[in-house]
Amino acid sequence: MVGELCLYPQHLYNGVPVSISLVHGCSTWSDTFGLHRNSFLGSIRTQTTLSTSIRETAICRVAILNNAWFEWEHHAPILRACPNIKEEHIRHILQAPQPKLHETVSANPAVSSVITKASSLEKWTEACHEADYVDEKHLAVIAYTDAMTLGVRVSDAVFERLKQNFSDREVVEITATIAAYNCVSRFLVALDVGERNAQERPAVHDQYFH
Amino acid sequence: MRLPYVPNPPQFENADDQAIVERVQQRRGEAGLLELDLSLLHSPPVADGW
Repeated sequence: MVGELCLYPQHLYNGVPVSISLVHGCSTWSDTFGLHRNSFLGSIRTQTTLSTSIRETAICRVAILNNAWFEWEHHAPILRACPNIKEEHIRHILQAPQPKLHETVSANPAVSSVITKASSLEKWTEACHEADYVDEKHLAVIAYTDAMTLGVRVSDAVFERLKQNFSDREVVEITATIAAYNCVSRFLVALDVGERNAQERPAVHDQYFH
Repeated sequence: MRLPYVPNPPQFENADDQAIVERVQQRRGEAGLLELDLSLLHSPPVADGW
């Protein structure tokens, strides 16, 4: 029955043991509202300790990387409503150039550190005026989202940057959020839910693509 | 969508499936079921876990 399962501290989900890395991100909560709080996506949306702007920055960036305009249209307004988020932040998520695959996936730490210092993404980020309005925490989340979404394997450098900015629990929750919304966007795009695939860009904020 | 959407709202004979529809409707509130819901509800258990 939805709303009655608790992952923590039993380390069980539907009677199936889950790994400790997942339990890191679980919250102890009572089902006060009774609505959709125990499903994986429900937990991602409403039960993590992440701030709304961190969560929605990750989700919106996934939407842009995967051309999932339906997802963007539903989540960009949530991000925009955050009091700490300026319009330049939204533009940065929309426009920050995407690292090439080889830049996201070096398993070699030595190479990774070189990539971090010299990566095109960092150059772009520094050169991008909008990035001045995005703080280090959000930039670290965007870099991690790019790596997870475009390359799957995350370089040590990108992961270390995330770890320096967030607790272990938050890292688990950010990772689960990015993974979950990659699932969402892939579902939306594969089935062309809402007939958005014909669009080459989001229906809103067209002006930012000049 | 590359498949037909289910009717809005769908009517299932199975009570468990119908309960899922009502939960999704409750969650969406006045906005009603989204195109996403009308896609997912081809498989009510999947829609429920979404």
